[in-house]
Amino acid sequence: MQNLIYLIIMALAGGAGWYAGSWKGRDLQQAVDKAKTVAEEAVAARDKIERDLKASQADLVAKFEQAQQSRDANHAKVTDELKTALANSDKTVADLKRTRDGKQAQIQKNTALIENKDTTAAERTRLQAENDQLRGEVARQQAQIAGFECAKVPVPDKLLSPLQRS
Amino acid sequence: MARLFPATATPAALLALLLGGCAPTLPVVVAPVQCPDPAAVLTQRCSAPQAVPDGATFGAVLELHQADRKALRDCADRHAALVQSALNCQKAVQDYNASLAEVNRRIANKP
Repeated sequence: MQNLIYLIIMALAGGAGWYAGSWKGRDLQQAVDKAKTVAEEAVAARDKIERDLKASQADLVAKFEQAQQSRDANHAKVTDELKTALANSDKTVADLKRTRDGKQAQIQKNTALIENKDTTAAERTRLQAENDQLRGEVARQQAQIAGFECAKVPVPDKLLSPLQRS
Repeated sequence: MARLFPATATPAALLALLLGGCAPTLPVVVAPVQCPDPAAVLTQRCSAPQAVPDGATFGAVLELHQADRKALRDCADRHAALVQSALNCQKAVQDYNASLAEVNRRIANKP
């Protein structure tokens, strides 16, 4: 009988403690619930940031690789152009010289007509203008010829050495 | 009473332990943002300029220059992409820090 009374007293005390504790802990429980929600949101936000970051990095790499392919293709094209131009320099020089010589002959022909006293003033003016244009073209072609001929010439040591050491 | 107390306290303690195991865990500290490792194509070293051989012709130097220009262009673009990658990561960390600040602000507010 005494034990039963003890048990009842303990049960009542426990119940009272439970009630009081739950009442007092309500705010705490709410705070815990809120903290849990906020923490879950923080995790979700972090995961989204990481997903977005991975996506932006993948996009960056894809764009770089695309640009790299474009650069490689362009490099192959222009490298081939340069090699071909250097390999064909003799023929190019011969063509340029032929054209230059033709223009120089035309200049001489025009000059003879200009000096002819039967040539009209208007015709003389036209021939002078044509000669000026031809002389410009000849000068440009002469520079081209010199450049192509130079391509096969070794760079002088005094010019090459600083380049080698840079 | 002396016999009753241990007889009730032991199961109660066991029950408390078991119930404690059922309690939800709170992720109080969220793991930081992890920047992914940069792609291998972005971490390649830039090529050094090619050696200019003795007796090189002007044409050969032009070809070397062309190859070096390509390498420099590749290097510049790779560097730009790598910098952008770092900036993306930095922004992600800033965003994350801002979200943490927001979390702290919300936790500091009374429910």
